[in-house]
Amino acid sequence: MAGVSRAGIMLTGLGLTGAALTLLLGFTWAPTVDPSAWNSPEAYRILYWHVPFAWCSFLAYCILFIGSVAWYARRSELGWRMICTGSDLALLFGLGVVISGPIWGSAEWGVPWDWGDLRLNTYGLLTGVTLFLVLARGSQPDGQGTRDTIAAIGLFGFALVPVTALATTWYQERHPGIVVIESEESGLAPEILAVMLMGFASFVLLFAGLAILTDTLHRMESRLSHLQHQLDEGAVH
Amino acid sequence: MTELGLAYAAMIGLIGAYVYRLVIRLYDLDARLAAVEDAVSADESE
Repeated sequence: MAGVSRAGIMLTGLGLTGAALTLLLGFTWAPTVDPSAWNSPEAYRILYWHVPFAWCSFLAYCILFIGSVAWYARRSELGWRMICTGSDLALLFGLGVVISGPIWGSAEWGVPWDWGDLRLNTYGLLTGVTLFLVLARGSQPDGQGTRDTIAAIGLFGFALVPVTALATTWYQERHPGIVVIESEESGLAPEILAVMLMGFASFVLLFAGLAILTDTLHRMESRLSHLQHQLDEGAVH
Repeated sequence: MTELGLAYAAMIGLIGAYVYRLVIRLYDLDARLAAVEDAVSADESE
């Protein structure tokens, strides 16, 4: 594939390898947590992927936001591609969080979802907005009106990101707080912190690789559409 | 442990499905682009 970035393939490969190693170390090397403090101590190991998934989804929302601003400011093709890439990746990582979180919740809390928790509900809404963006892009004819609408909803979705990210600091109900910051509540063992940081680094590499490859895909689709239009014009005249 | 396995299976499945679909679409688009570029250059030379 001549048009596909080698950097994208390499970063994706490195990220996947690092994520697999994180999982292996998380299950075999990292110790278990204090059984008296958790209902389901073994289930804590979900955080090695669940937390990096959530951070990657926030990175994707940042791309979506920058793209939406660029689209409104300059109607730039790069801005539109950033909206496409940001929403695709936000949906991927957002779905991972929304699916894995309730499975852990069932083990730890006894219920998969808490409708009184700000973090859970704002994140669920954010993922719903992203699902709408991806479905709308696929189902609506591509044009300035569609792009304006999608960019506006992308901006609205991004407004939820700081609320969701800081929800456990402002208003904690059930969802655990920010665990990588040392506090009395978190008190992570050094091995757990080391594996978590390895997970973050791996997922950032994976995110970068997927972002490059997804952007390449949207660029190729745009070029194909342009060339087909050119061929059609040639056939008519 | 069952819940943990289910959660990781879901996340691995999502990443795997996305990467697989991305690679398939990139290969497909690459082939289609090459064909259309050939058709455009043939059109221009006529």
